[in-house]
Amino acid sequence: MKNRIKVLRAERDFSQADLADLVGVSRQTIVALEAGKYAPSLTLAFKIARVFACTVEDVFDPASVDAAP
Amino acid sequence: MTSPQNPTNLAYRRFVLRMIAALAVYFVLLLGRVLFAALPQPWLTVSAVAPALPLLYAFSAIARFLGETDEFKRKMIVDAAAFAGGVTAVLAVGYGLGEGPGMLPQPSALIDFAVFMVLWLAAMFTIKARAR
Repeated sequence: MKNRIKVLRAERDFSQADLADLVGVSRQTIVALEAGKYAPSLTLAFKIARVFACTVEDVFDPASVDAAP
Repeated sequence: MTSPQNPTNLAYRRFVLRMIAALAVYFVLLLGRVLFAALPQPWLTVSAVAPALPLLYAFSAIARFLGETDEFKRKMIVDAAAFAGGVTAVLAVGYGLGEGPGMLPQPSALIDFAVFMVLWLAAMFTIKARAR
């Protein structure tokens, strides 16, 4: 799933480790999320959105997810 | 580097301590098995299988780590274990069908565990590399 985590992180001058600490996951998880290799749970998506003070849709691109049949 | 107070770091530290405890007891019991090899039955059998007991604790340490670590790591570990378990099962059944008089030799059942662990580690390495 495409997302804007890297951009939002850079805007706030957060490192991957900073963001990982803020949402309580490993840096490896942030790396996988930024690379679009992992789609987070709803809980993690909301935590990330809260850190950036925006909505989940502002962080994660719903258009990049295949529509359900 | 993430903070030492990051929940995944704390979970990993607890996991390592639990595994060290389990392996320490395992090696003590294994040593006991060697030192007391001349025990009468049923103590000989008891001392022979006793090293398997701390492995129960090691298994619980892995299960607790899965519950305490973050969702992505949990997914990687479980995906790798599922792959390793599936391939080990197919290999074990395939080989088992070929066992018998005049056919394939019958190795120790411990080889299943060794095959599973090697496949699990290989799968973990591959999944980790692909997630970067």
